[in-house]
Amino acid sequence: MTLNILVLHIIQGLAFLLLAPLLLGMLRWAKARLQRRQGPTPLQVYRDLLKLLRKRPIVPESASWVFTAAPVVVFTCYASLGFLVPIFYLPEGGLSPVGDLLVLIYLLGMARLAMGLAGMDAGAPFGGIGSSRELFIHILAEPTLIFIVCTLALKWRTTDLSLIIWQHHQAELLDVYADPSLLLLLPALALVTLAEAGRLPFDNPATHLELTMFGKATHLEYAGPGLALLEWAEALRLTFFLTLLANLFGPWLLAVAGETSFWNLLMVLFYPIKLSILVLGIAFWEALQVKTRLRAVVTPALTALAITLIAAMLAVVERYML
Amino acid sequence: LLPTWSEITLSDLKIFTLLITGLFVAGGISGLFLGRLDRKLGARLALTCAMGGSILAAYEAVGFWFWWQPGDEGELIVRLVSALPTGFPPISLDLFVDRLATFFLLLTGLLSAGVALYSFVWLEDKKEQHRIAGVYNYFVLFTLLLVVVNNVYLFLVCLECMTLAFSYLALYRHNVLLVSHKREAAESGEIREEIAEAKLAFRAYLVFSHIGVVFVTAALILLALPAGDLSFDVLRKSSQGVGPVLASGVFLLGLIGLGIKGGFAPAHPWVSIVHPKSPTTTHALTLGLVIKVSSFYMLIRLFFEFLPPGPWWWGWLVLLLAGLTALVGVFYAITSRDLKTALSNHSVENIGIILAGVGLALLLSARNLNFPSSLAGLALIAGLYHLLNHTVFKGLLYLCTGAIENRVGTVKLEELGGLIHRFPWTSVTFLIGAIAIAGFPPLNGFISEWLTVQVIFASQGFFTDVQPWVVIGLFGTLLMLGTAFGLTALAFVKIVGEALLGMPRRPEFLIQEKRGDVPWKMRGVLLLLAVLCLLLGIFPGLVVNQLALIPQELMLLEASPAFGTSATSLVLNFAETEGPVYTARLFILPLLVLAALPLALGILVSMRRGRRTRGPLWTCGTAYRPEAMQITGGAFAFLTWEWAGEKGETSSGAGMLSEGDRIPWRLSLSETRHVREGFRRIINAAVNWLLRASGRFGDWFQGGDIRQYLGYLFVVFILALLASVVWQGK
Repeated sequence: MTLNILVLHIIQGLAFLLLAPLLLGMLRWAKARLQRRQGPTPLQVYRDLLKLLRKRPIVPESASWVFTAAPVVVFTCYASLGFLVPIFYLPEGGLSPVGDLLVLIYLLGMARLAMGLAGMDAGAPFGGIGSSRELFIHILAEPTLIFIVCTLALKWRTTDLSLIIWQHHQAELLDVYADPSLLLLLPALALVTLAEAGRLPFDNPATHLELTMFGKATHLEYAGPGLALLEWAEALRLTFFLTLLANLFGPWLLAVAGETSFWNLLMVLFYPIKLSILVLGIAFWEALQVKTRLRAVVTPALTALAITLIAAMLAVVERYML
Repeated sequence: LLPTWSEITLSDLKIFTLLITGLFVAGGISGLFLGRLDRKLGARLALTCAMGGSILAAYEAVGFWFWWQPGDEGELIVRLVSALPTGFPPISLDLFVDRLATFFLLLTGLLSAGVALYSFVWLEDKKEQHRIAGVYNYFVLFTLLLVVVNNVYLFLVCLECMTLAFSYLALYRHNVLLVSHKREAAESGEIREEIAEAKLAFRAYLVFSHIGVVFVTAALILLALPAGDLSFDVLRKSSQGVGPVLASGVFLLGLIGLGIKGGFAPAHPWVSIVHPKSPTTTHALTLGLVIKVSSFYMLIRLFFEFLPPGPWWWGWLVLLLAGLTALVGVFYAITSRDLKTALSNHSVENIGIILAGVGLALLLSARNLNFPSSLAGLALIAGLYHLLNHTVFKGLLYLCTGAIENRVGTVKLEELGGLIHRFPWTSVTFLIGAIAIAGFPPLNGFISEWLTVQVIFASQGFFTDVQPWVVIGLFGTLLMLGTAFGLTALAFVKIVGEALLGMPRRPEFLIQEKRGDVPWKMRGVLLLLAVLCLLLGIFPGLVVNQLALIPQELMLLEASPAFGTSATSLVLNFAETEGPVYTARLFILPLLVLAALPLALGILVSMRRGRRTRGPLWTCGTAYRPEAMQITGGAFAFLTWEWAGEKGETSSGAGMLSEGDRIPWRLSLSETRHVREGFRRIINAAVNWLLRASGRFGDWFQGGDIRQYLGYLFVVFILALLASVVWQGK
């Protein structure tokens, strides 16, 4: 691995870190506008983070070091996702030493595990409920994620995300969008995004009633920098999945080594814009959705799994019969 | 002190082997007989012998692996006695050592040495310490012998001796209950029920184990019959001559027999019935490793050495069994209420993952599929890697459980809680084991799971024409394994959350427990295993390149493949005949470097404000009551088992066993809620049917009529005559 690529990964990761709160802010702002509320400015998340970072942490009496370590682990997992995958720049030939899709899935799982443990750690009444629910949604989403990787591996014979995006980049628009197995991955990945990022209909991030909380219930006991890290991690999680969607299904809008520097600069600048468009899409979607009952979240989760299974089967059929 | 390996001759090895055997035998004697005079001395002597023997065995294994220069055969045969003077058939006491045997020798030696060291403390205050220590010697000895003996007869003898030694260990809980509750036993219904449960565990073990051995014996004898010899050498050489029907028969019999011994679904229930009743310290060895030695060692020999390459459905069947085992194991681990049962069920899941690797190797080396042989080799490596990992992290988890039992006196999850505040070392190591077993980077469980899944992905591209059943089998296995991986995370958040985190759920237990963390003898073993979890995760290239020697020797690979380009990376490249190359890369070092940046930022941010203040929990304004306000394990897992279709019957405290039940099939989630374990019901029904049918047959066969018996004599006489005619004609 050359040093260049490592530096590029670090630059992209830092941009990812800094941009994520803006996208979460935009989502909240857009949702408020759609509900005919004034809404906080998109920059509010930055302000919240700065405020929280300045506060002194208060830790429950019954908490151990797991409680303190969990936000760091969660933040590390979600943030390193941005350091491992192509964010706005695709190395020539997709040659990057990191970014295996299975590693990414396990990093998502690691974050869930850490948050689940933190929810149990303080011995709080709501934390345990929250971690149980979070992990439940995760186990519904994990087989789908693995089968998405399986379909991509069948199609492109690798599990390396940068290689897959490179192959998409080399293909024509119609090669990607007229391919039934790849096309089916789009709704499946979108549903998984909603599940993993804790959006409607799986989870209502705006709820203020403890008993209806999922992920937020595990955040209840946090204050100060710990809460800031968790909020930031939430923004990173959303941004990562949107980036993944955008890059898998719009690889032509990436900066690439072979292109002119003007085009590349344009594409780097275009990165926040295309994510904003996706965020607006989520805002519209959430305006139309209601939170489903806890036990009913199985339906959309299994729908995603079914779609992915069909996609994988189609990929097999394409491979051997056409 | 010890000679270097280059100057060692075969006769030295013979003495070395006898020394190890002698140590274990002496340990057993001092435990069982000297222990009668002085309990403590006997136990200590026995454990010292066990530790010495295990370390020597591990040393010998390391020597074989790295420094021994094998002859032309590529393996080592130590002829202790070339043949027993009399007896039919001729049985030689050859010890056969190849890389597969060395692998198991090394694991057994290392883990057993650790367990022995740990037992010095754990057994200290136990009444039966000398007997447990003595039997432990024999148990380890026969485990070590099992992997090096070189013929069918001795293999079966070792298997049976292991069963006998372990059946004594399985009586442990029963004996403890009888001794400590002699007076109350008559009165208290609860204790009587527990004693009945412990008795049942003992019986269940013998029954399951012997049924398994019957099938294994049948398989091996069937294989040895045409060869006319019981030696493994002959079986190895004649493997190509085995006909397809016979081969399939041996395959099925072997899979059933070794599957029952190894706890593959649907024969898994005995694992979680029997093992929790054995002492926690030997539990680490028996379920952490030996259950896999007694099944996977012979399974691998049988599949890849004794049998010719088979049809595709062999591997397909094994693969589906593997997925089922993994899923079932983790599901019942979630519903278990005490630490030992939960971990036992979890071992079943891991056995499933290992079996997936072996099944994939079998499928990919099938006769007509023409897969690249390196792919089949990688599948076997993935299975063996997981076996290694499971030994490390499960040994760690069981020993942590033993430490908890040593300090608190109970392993019931609902009576624990908040241990992390009182026993930091035990808790940290338990947490490391839990993260490793849940398969998260950078710990070791992740690597083997990654490898297994990669082999499934890679193999999907190599079919020359589409075979729908194989594809469905692969997808089904992937689905089951994927779900099981996710459920493992949930299971361990539940277990860790309930046992280590939060506040103590029963404050009255705080008074009984011992102060302070476990002594250094125990702590050292725990830390060592925890460090191994990390090392095996960081240096996958190193481990894979070493493990690759095993499939190479088993004739799966022509040349030693290098999947790890460096010690910390794995690069998989499989060229297809036409079409693109399958590529997967895992570089640990850049991953760690790139993850270190956000980690540093996170630590910086969370440390910025220095001392934190303590505050109360948010309990909506009411007073906090830890025993009532924390989530319980049953509630934590509720969503999962309810989603899986279990209604969680609310039958009130009716006994776990009712009329017609052989083994309990209602697993309690709390005092009032139960889930049904479907496989146990099927086993109960099968046993009941078998009893009825055999009773009916017995009534008919032993009719009590003298004419009938004379008839039998006549038939046997005729058959004997016929047999002698046929035998002579040959």
